[in-house]
Amino acid sequence: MTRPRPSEPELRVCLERHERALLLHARSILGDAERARDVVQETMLQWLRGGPSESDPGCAAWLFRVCRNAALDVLRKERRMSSLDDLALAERAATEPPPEAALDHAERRRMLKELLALLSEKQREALRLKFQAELSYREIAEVMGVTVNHVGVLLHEALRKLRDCTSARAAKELLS
Amino acid sequence: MSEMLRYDPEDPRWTAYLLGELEAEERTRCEALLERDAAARAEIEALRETLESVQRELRTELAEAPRLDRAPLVAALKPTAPRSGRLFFYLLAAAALVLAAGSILWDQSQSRDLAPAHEALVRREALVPAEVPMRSPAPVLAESSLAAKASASAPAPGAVGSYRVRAVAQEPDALRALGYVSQDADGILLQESAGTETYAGLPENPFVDVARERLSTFSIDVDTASYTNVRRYLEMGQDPPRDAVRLEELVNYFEYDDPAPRGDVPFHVALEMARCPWKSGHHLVRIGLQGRVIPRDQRPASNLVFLIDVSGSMQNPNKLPIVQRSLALLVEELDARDRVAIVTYAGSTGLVLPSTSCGERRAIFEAIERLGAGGSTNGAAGIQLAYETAREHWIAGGSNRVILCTDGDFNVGITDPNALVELVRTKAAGGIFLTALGFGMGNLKDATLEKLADQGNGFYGYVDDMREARKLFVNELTGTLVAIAKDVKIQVDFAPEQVRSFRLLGYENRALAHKDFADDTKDAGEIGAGHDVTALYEVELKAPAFLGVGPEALRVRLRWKEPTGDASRLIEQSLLVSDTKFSAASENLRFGASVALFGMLLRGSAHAGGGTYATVQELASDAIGTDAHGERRAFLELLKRKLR
Repeated sequence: MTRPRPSEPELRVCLERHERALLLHARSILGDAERARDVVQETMLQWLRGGPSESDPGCAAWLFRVCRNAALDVLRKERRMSSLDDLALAERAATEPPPEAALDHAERRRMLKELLALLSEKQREALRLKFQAELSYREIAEVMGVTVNHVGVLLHEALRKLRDCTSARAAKELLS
Repeated sequence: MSEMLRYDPEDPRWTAYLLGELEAEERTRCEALLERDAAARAEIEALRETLESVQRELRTELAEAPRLDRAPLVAALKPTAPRSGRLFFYLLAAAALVLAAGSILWDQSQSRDLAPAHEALVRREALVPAEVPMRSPAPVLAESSLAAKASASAPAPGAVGSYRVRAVAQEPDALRALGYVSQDADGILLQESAGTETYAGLPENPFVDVARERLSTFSIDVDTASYTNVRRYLEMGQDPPRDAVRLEELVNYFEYDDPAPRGDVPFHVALEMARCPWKSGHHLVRIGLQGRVIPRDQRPASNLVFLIDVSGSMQNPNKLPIVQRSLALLVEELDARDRVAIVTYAGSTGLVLPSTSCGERRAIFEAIERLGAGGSTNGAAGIQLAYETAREHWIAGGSNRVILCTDGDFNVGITDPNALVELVRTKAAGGIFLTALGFGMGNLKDATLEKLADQGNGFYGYVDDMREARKLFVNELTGTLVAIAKDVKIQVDFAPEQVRSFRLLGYENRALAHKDFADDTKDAGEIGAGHDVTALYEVELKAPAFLGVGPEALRVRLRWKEPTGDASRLIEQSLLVSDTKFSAASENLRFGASVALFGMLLRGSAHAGGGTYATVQELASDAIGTDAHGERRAFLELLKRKLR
């Protein structure tokens, strides 16, 4: 027996908790907000049709996995026409226009993007799933289809690289 | 970290440590090492700072991220819901016409010429509004003009086995367009309101004083939509609107175990009386009609693959929800030898339901329930998938068919129309026919559907409301669903010496004028092969029966016609007063009564007496019987929602 269709309150709670992280996740894969919205919308529709209950501990991982697969599907279709590799993706993510926020916001956002662009696609994804989706290692592994150990490696290397870069930047600033 | 004697900056467990992902034992080891290694401590502090600033930045980004448009998602919550009075009108209106389709089928089996069947339907529809006094001056088109229109719009049959049906809707369009008012089959006005569901006002039947009125006349009703609708509400955690609860549809949703008919009467009539469980001193009377079962081996098995368009535009209440209802209706009529598969396209493409035996209705119903419109992704090869599925489950000598349900979106995986037609032609030559059903208005690609159906050896149906859907789905798709009796009317004559008052539970919108009982021009409900229909009365006897059994309490008269007949036949059966304890009554009466009480409680009925949901549970759980399809058990599950 499938569970009953979610109630409207359940839908709202689910959106409240996950929609923004899902949008950012999809956007980081796809590189643009519009298609990200389509993908997340489709993800939510799939959830309505038969996803785990919002209170189910596996719900977040389920949502991100479905969202990721949908986004990758879109990419795969595009790749048939124009081959995109990780590097090109990184560039797209990095050149995405900053949101219309306060200037210092925009500046910091630009720095974040620059920094994230230094990482591999998978490292970025793991970071987002950790800090935005707030998934556990095990859940991230499930979403990305890698081992839990590999999630640990991805995050550790990402942070070490960021630390090296920031300290290099700090050193440069000190010197100048 | 058992070997962690010195600090290894490349060990990913340091990040895991900072993120709280380590088990207690490993965490302790890390802390111990940091305790004694100042250099490591500094390194890990730097790592923590990085982590925290990245975390902060990512969280800021998250807080500022855009949000989704809620509306389409909220709308998608209830894809099977009747969204408006309009749709509900279709559901109500469908009841009288479910078996009209069956009789048309019968006609077709006699002849491939569609015209007589068409006229039969038109005649029937024209008669519907006359059944119950009208409350509004709804335009009723003259029979002749309707028939003329219908035959004009139904093109001459093409190749053998290939024809098109295009019936004319006879809804009061002008009225609807002007005042948002529609009308159900019984002439009851429905007020539509934007975004909320509206139901026809349905005041419950009162107790009738037999001294003043000894007759009770009504048409049978085999519809069960109300139960499904009520269940949907309860599963959403809401109480259904009072007028959405129709007792007879709740009771008739379930199968009962009445004896099969014998002789030339196509149904068996069971009569029974026992004490009423919710009102002391009252009694219940059950009238159970069991329709003749047409031997299954006389019907070819069906292998059906539905190819359903779930693009956003199908979300319209008279598109996908009608497809869903129709599918459910069809599956209800099929059996374990028949197979149904569902492929969707233009939203999410895929085999939503692998070819499944109709013996596993639950799985099929669940798949139907899950069908939702949404998304706009171009589907992959939906039509090939449908044909492959049909081919894989080929039934030799059976009906192998792909049924395309769409409002005009042909993203079935082949974009070149000529290639599409060619594919359909090839498959038809190989024995898999295509039926094309167009839903809704506006977007319909009429010519394309017509061409596809022509080439696919199938027929093209145009469905703009539930009545059409029922007619086409039940008619063509069940292939051999046969009505065993039509215009079935019940008249109960209570003996004033024995019965003080009676109340018919449900059938409020099926009431007939007493004089129409013997009037063969007055339309009523049909019984399909194997259908069972239950009517319950609550009665107040004048005196309790001596030693349990007394004189005649009532006489039941039944009129019906053969499916193709014009003249009605009459049978009569009487029931004696009986003071049987409720617990000693048949399972049929006990379960039916529990469902009726459930409906009365949901309606906030004034006649529920001392009955509560706990009473319903008590009564129903004692009367589960064989419950071959698990429906009674599911009822008990549903009931739990009201007991919490």
